[in-house]
Amino acid sequence: MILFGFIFFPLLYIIVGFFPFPLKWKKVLALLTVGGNLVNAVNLIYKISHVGMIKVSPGSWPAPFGITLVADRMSAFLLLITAIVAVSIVLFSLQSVDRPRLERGYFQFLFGIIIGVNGSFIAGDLFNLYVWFEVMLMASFILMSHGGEQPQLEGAIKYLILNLISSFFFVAGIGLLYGKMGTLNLADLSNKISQLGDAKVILNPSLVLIVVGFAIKGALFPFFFWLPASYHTPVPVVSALFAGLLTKVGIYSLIRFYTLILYHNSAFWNPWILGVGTVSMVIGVFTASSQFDFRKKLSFHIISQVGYVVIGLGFFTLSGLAGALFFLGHNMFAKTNTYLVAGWVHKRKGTLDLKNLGDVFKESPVWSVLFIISAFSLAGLPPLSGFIGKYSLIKSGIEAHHLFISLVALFVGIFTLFSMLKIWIEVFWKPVKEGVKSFTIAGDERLMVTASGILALMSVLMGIFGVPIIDYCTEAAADLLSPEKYIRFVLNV
Amino acid sequence: MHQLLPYLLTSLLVVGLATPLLEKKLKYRTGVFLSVIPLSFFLYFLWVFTSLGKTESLIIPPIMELVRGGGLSVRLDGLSVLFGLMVSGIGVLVLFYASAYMRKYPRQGYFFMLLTFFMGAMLGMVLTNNLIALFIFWELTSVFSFLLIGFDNHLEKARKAALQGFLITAFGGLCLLFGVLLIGDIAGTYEISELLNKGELITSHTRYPLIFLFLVLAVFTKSAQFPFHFWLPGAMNAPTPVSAYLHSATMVNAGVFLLLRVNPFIGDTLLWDSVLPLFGSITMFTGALLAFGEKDLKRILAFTTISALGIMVLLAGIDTTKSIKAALVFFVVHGLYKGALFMIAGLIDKTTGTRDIDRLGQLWKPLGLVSFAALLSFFSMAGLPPMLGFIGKELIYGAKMQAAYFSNIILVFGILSNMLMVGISFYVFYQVFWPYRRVKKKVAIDGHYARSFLLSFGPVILAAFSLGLGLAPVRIGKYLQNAIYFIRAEEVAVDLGLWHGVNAVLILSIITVGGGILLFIFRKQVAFNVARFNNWLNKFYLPDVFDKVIKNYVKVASRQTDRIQHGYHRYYLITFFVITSLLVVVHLFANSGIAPELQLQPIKSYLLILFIVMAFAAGYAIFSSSRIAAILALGIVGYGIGLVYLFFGAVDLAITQFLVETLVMVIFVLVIYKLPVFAVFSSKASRVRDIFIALLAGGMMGMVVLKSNFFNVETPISDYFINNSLNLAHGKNIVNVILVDFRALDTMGEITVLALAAAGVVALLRLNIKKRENE
Amino acid sequence: MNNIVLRTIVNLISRLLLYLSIYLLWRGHNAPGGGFIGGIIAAIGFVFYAIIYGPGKTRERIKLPPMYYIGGGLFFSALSTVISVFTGRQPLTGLWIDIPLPVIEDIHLGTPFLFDMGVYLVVFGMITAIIINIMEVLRWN
Repeated sequence: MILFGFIFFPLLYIIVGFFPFPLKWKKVLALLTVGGNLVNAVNLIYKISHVGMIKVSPGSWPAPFGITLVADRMSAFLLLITAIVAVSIVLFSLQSVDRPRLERGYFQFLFGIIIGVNGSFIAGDLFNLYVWFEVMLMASFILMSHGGEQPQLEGAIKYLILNLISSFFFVAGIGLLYGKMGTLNLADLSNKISQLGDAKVILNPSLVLIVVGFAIKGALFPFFFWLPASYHTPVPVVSALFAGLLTKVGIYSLIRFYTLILYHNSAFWNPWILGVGTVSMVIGVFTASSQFDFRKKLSFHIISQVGYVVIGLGFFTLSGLAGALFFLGHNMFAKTNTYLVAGWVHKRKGTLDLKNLGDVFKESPVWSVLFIISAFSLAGLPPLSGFIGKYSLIKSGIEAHHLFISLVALFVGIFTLFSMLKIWIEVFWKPVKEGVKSFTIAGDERLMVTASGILALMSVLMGIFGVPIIDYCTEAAADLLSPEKYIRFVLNV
Repeated sequence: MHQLLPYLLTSLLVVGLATPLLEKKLKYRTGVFLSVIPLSFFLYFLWVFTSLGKTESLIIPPIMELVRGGGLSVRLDGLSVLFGLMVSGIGVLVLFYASAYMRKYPRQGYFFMLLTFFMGAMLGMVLTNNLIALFIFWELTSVFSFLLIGFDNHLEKARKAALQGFLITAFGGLCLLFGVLLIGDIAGTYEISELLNKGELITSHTRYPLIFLFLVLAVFTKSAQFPFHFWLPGAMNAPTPVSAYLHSATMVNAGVFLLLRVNPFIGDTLLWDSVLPLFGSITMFTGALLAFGEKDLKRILAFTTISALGIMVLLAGIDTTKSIKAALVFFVVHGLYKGALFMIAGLIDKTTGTRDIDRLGQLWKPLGLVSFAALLSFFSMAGLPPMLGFIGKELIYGAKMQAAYFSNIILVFGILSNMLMVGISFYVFYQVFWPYRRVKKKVAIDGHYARSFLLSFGPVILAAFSLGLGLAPVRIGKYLQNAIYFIRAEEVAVDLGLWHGVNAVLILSIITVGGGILLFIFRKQVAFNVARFNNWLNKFYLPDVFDKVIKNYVKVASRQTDRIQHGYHRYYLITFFVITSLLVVVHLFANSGIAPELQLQPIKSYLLILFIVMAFAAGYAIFSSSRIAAILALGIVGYGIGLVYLFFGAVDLAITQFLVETLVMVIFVLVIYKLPVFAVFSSKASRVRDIFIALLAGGMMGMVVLKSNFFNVETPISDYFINNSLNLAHGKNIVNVILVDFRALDTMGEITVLALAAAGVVALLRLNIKKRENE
Repeated sequence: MNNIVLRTIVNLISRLLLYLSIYLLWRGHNAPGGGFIGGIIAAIGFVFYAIIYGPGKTRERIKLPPMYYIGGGLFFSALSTVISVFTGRQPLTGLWIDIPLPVIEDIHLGTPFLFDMGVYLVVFGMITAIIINIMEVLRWN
């Protein structure tokens, strides 16, 4: 029931959202729901750290036949981070999103995304994963267009169409795979593919389709276009939510899929994964440097950071996977928070154009500190979480004798730093241009500060407690590297 | 006692965080109050320094680790304590000084917080026994340096300099990290005490050149070696206490410290002995020469700092016991006089409002005791007896003669540089302080600053140390043995003295001073020519070059970004489809040998007719110029698919397909009149291209389906559904049982999608937020 | 569209389709039909109704706001997933009871039916909500 709760609690809010309760109740309920989700996630990670894996079979149908929800250490880790991010997003939304949007089901869609993300992290079944992708896609499309401002719609349409292609490839791949293998359960699939021997190459076309689906979701090179085209258009807190969660689900799926299915043919897949990861890293920072918009700069960076995770997967060693997982988690915190700060700046200054911004450091040291923690964390400066992540990845790269890729990863860091410093200098240090006025934010902003503070604190904590967390990630990576364990657990053999 | 050290270091963090609160209570006295911390560190180091045995080192295990094997373990040996002494000692004086200097600045609490953090990071860096921890602190000092250089963030110059300094030192930091990781990969440990005897292993490894390269890059960037030296003069935009502390006495020496630290296990190779002296000499000479062309007191000092750093790198590179000894002594010498001179420069700036040496003059009397301190410090800088600087210089000459490679060139360069140093010392002192000049200078003097105790305390104490240690060099000489033992792994008696009799070194010294005096006499000409040379050099003015590089990079990036993220939706689609299709098609053919042969069954005639109709309908939809007709045609395709379902016995699916198709058409018809007039946006060529792409994508899907020839490894799970639908799930309609029971969770997800879609459509229709009015 | 004949026919059809949909929902577990199909059919009836009578009348006809149907449907489905949890089984496990009836055969009722009902309501609510709102925004009639 713990696992089912990750879907059930947000669903409850969605149900309630259809009835006209006063907005105040809905706000409280939204908080309670994310709170419950967080408690559930903490509970799960506590259990998981003792037993390793948990599963539930809705409908009591045995494993390969019914749908199985499985959580291993990786899932639990990501679920917990999602839950924390969700709490801060809701807190931030309470004070930053305007009333008409809140009344028109804003939180419903937000919880739609959370269901989708949660569901994806625990889906043990390929088609079920697809369903959660759909939930996420629908909810995110609505949030992106929610409010119907012109640029929003433009971004939303691009987002929707390019993501629908992802869904199309994904579901086509699933269909083909099912046609050949007769099963959808990931563990069962892995098991059956391992018995195929050389014949498994005939699965490649369908696997390519699925992987492309994931790559589009994860905004990997060369499928990232939808992300920079759309992430800067919605309400800032929504971009924060997207930046924190959406692409990460694609990458999570890729990791899951790779470690269960693709690794059977890793001689073929590995170079691709490494190549795509490396190019994504470079392209991301490169394109980000050219931007002069707070959010756009951050958007392009997502591509680069996703690349880091993917090279960690590509190294396919214990420490590499552990580093990738850690990096994924770190990035969810740090990235979301930089967007939240952007949201605050937008509310305060009415623009996100770097040229017209300035003086934020003078006006609000608190927000400046919140930003700089996350920004420096993204740039990989010690002792913040980003350093631990990057350190682990590069170290594992050296150990895996991928010296060149490690070097690329290392020096992509300096360009990330450059972008972050650019934002810092332009937005926070620079005196503001004549004639650009700033607004005092109506009402108090304590919830917004709390929201951002939680995430910044997480970046710091993940840095300081790097060793235990990396140890946890290493255990998770060990599970990933020995899929037999997962298969045995799911199939009960 | 020693065990407490790591905790004390971490507690600096807490103190730093509390500083803004302290500042609210104590106001400008914060600095004085805070100086208790470095003072106690100083006394503690003094105690350790004097009580440490000749070959003894203390290692305190880490209290915590940030990463595995990267704990903050502390190492107390001659080297770390010597650096610790300088960092904490000058720290005390700088805090005193800053209290007065920063008095009128806004955000003093923030300033002292950064300073405290920096102190903690710097102490951590010199004290740690772990290379990873060393890197972490190294990077932290860069961060705080960035924030401090940009302290006056309303000035564009300060912002620019901060960015430059940080990018360069952070680049070096990353190099250091990579080098450290490579070392760790080879040696299996990051603990310095364990690495000490693994030199053989590392230096003979094939990756040694790489390690060396990265470490040297780290050193060169941090310690402002040519060609990375240019960030340091820019860093002078920081408030003067920062320049005095970070950019002369402590942080910039980190590179030298690193060289000395890793020397036992990285040094003593051909690369080491040739590259370091080479770049060290170039830096030494360039710094000294360029200093002559500057007019700003702080910039002059910055260039002499670069020169001094060059000397230290050179000495570390020569890598003999003598040179290491010289490097250590010179580190102390330089820290003492340069710290003092910077503080004096700041004091002059405050007193007179300018730092331009041409506008200053005859400050000897107004500044009183400080002038005397300045005199001593300049003497030390010039390397004249009886200052400690003299001893340092003597040692340096001695060491240079020992250089393994091109010792002659080094020596010549060294003498030239030192002549320049002597010249510039005299020159600046004459310009600024000399009381007997023909033309009376009119300099406005703010007596309040001139007599400020807090401002003059630091330079006076430092000058006193320069003098005192010069007169009684034995005091420190005795304790350098330990440091040298851990760098060179040799026990040597270090005896320092002012007088070694008449020997080659003394003669060189005399020549140097003579040359320096000549330079001083011809100062006008020299300064003019160097300034002209400087002007010529400004074409390659590195900060601007760096700026330009960045600007061009951004330009190229934005051009390329426009090419990559061009905003044309159709090209994104094309990219997606073409790449995917090609990937799939390649795989289809690559593996055609392995896959079993295709066995096509004859197609049923009614299906064939159906497909032909559907194909026509689809074609019609594409070419029709009427929207309604296109929609109806698409409806035919949809119904056709429903029929296909029906033919293969999927009744539920067929019904659903029909119903959905109908609904979609109804909705289309509802909204169609609201759409803008049908228009053709694409050119003919692009449509032809699109045909091919569509055919490629469609062909790909078709081929995949055809070729997949559904072979089943085992019984598919659908068999289980068929067998158990009635007896276990109590339903005869398998489709429905799958939907609501076997895979009810999927349905759950799908109805959530539907529910959200409905809410979303309504929200989209109803919620029309125009551009917000309040903005 | 004030044609009285058309109005009567549409009224009748929508009613018929509603009954048909309920029948389909009921028998869905054993024969073609089910919540999804039922929901669409019921909704199509009201779509016709809306086209003829306009969205305002349709709102009256379906009594509750369409959103309530969606919410209610989701609620039933969600409820059916957790009933089994309260009896200590995995979520979504089907629970069945037999209601013996005289004359006709026994009714075999289970939580999957509740689930299906939820699907029915969601689909119905969704289509009516979309259609009615589009019509209102476009000022149909």
